[in-house]
Amino acid sequence: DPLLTIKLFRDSEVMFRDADMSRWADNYVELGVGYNSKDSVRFGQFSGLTDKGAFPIAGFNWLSRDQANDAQYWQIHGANLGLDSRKFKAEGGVQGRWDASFSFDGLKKSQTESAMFIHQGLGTSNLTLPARAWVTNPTTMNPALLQPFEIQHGRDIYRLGLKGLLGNEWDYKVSYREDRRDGTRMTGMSFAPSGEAAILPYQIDDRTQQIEAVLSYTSKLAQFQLGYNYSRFSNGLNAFTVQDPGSILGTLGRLSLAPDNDHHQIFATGAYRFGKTTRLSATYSYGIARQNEAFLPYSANGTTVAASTTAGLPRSSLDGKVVNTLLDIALTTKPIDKMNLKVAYQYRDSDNRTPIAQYAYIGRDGAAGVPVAGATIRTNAPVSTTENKLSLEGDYEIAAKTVLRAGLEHSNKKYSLSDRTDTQTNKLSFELRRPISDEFLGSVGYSRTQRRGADYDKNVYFRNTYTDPVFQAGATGRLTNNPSMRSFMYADFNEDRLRAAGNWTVSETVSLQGSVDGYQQKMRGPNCGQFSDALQPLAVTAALSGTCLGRESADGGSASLDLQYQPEENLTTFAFTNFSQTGVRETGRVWSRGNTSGALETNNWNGDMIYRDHTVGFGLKWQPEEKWDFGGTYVLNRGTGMSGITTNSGLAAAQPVPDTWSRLHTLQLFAKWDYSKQLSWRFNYLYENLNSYDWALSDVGATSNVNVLFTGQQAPRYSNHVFGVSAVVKSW
Amino acid sequence: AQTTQKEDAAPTRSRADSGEIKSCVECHEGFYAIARTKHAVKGDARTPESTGKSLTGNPEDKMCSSCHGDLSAHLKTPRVKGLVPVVFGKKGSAEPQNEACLGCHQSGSRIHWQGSKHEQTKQSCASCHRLHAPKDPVMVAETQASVCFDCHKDRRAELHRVSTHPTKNGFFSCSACHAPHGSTAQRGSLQKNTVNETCYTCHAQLRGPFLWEHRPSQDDCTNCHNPHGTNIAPMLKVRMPYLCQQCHSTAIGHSNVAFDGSTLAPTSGSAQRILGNACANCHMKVHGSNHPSGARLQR
Repeated sequence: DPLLTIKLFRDSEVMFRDADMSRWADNYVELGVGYNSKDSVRFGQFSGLTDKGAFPIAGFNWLSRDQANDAQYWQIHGANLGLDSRKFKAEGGVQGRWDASFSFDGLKKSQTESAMFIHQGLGTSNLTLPARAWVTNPTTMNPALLQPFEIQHGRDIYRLGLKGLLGNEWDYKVSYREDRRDGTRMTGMSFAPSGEAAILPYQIDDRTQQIEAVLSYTSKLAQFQLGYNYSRFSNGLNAFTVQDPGSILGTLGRLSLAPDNDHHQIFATGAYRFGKTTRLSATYSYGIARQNEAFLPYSANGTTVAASTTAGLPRSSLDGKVVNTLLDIALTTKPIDKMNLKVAYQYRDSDNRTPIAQYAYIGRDGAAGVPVAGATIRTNAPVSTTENKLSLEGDYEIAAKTVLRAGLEHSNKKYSLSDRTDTQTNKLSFELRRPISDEFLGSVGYSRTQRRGADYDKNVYFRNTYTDPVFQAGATGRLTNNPSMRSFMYADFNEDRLRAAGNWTVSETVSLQGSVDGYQQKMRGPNCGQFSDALQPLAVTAALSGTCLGRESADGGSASLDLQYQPEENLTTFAFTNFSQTGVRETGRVWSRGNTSGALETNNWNGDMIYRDHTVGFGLKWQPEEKWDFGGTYVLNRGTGMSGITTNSGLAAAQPVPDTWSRLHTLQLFAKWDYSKQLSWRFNYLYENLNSYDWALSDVGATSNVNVLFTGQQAPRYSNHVFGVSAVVKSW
Repeated sequence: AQTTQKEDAAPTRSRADSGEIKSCVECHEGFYAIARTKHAVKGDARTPESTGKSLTGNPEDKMCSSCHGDLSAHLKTPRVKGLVPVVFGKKGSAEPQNEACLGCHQSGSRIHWQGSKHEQTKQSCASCHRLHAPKDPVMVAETQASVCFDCHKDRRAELHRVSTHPTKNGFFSCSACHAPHGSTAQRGSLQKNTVNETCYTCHAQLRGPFLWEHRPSQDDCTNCHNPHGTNIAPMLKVRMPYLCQQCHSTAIGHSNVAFDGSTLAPTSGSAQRILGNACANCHMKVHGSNHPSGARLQR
């Protein structure tokens, strides 16, 4: 019974939403008060309930229809109005002719409250220091300089919509959405001349506007849509400037922030039915993404530090442009009564027309500049891709309600300026769905995917982007990325997936659902260490040959079991459990450009990254009498991350890496008392407890490292109780 | 699509056998919540209420035959099974159910229904939609996910992890990204043509194009992120630095180092690359940099 699932999910949410569906239909006003037991930014990361203390509970829904001609209507709805994360929507119109709507979603995203910083101006885009923070490195800093600062930002979403009919077969839809974000997020930042880095809060102040306009035609035989999408991102800030905490000169570091950009897209979709069982559909879309934000200068410190960077920028802005084209054609048909077929073709092209130019590479703002003709000139390398994909899928009812499905897919993808020039991917899949009995429906499916492609060249990007002679032909040791590395997004692989699921209606009151699935992806070469590229120096080639590096394999699986039990009409219960595991095995090799001797396989290391999650939940809803509803849910998620590192004989024996873990408990109880037809009282209780350990954060002090000024931020943990009581006045 | 015992209540034998049934509501009282839905709006010429024809003579029954087909035989002998042409929900076959719905609702995103994943797996419209409910849960952001989780159990579990989108808080429905009626997306039946186009709906700051691209980011956000939730913030599939080392092993840098337990001591030489934000302590522009000197994604 999906109703049960609805209860399961909704009741396990924070208390501010109701488990009673009827409130969605009725007019009501809800007013009450809640109490949060503790301050916790992390607990209220999305609800906005970050502070200890009382808070208002407020919401309403009001639908009005003209009784004489009930096509006219208007409705207003508000939820969570007492919190920073809240919603409001108003709509109205004449059903069947036109509808207009406005909505507002306010959403708060909180990151951490335990971070400490030394800079002044926190929350702005310009951080300063009263004086140099340390003499030699962050560990020598006086910790008393650190001050707490909460990292959080808000997103306000405004939506306007208008849709309507233009006669019997035509309709239109126009919508506008604007997202406004402001607040702070965390970022790393590296400095020169101190050579150190710091974790800092940078300011967010941006806006995204989106417009969609669609004209549609619909008849029994044919459907057609013509539309336009526009999206524009505008950043109120273009840079984040920070004084180097380790520089006696007070030199500045500067980070470029997300550039203004926009995207225009037109699209047309159509479908036509031939006869009763054959349908042809086609979609074409053409979009242009553009970005032309003015470049920042090479250095925030002018010519004071980067004096030798005198040539200036090759252009004042990028004039970046990517043209995206899609053509999709699909034919679905039913050649015989029990068979369905679909054949589809897709063409996708991403043509990156961004101008290519040479730019000076200066690692950090305070670093000494280099002559333009020097060793660190880099050329940008905009990548284009083209993909052609053909697929054939079909199913056949081999017996009553027993369906066998099969699919075949071939894709050819071409890349420019990438590790490979092209890849071919083939996928074969089967699925069998069969009722074992009237009460049990089972399915099992299998798929195999293979990717192969052109010769692999890990350093094609670097050779295209470096003008430095050290990376050019004839220079020894010019490799910058190990040629044996196979990036998983380009590499050959074989992947097998298996899935089985079953639904069992045990009795009128008990049902079970279960599923298991697993996958294994084995990465392959090709030709690790056998470089066809004549530019690679032979000595280095020999030293680097052998095992492929990077992701070696990936696997995972999950198992779920759901039990639903309804012993009486007024009592529903459920329980579920899910176990999942994903793993990645990767190979690395400690090496340098100076390695010209062989046997570097002894410098290999392996990493086995395994992530396990176990989620259990149960709950019930009980209506002992007409006026009372009681319910509760409990959900626990236990996550564990393991990083197993092993080394070959050329490296020191690896020390174990501790497991990371998290335990998230959520308990929710609620009661509803219908005092009268017009008045209900609601009582809610929420307990949420998060405990976690993360070696990257836990017990890592802000000033504990010689090269990075951390924040002292700890792995999140909180334990909050929230109580709420509210009155719901319904119907008028 | 779901029934309760009350809704299923059969007429008494005497009334059923005598042919005295004067209204569908006599037996199917619970289903009449549909009278409070958009389908029952008289002023809209497209609705079943406007286009239907009552077989009992009772105007309240106009809507029933619009979707369930010719119910004459069922009205004559209501206790005989199999006389309702279109039965919605699990009891009925998906194809006739969907034909009934698509008769009016073939426009919009339903253009792609034929051949979509849900159509191929024989889902009916009523598998997800509750047509008799005044407010269909799958059409409400706060309750939509619970309908999807009826089948997608793994996704429900992922949503209870530590790093997720605000779906549990009712601000991010499944259909914000997915098109359950089918689409032209490369995979995942997404609202937009690609994974990245879908993500840029809310994260347009990452769209670029950037002067210095980071290939996995421009290729597919899900190379690194699992948008349904993980226990590695921000929704990463593998934690850094191991995430990055799946592609990077440079000679002049430090990405070839075996980051084992010895590197976790804050005073160790490699700790700066594994603690805190790990690689992103310095290479923070992992989605691309537009700084003229941002080739190493540090600026």
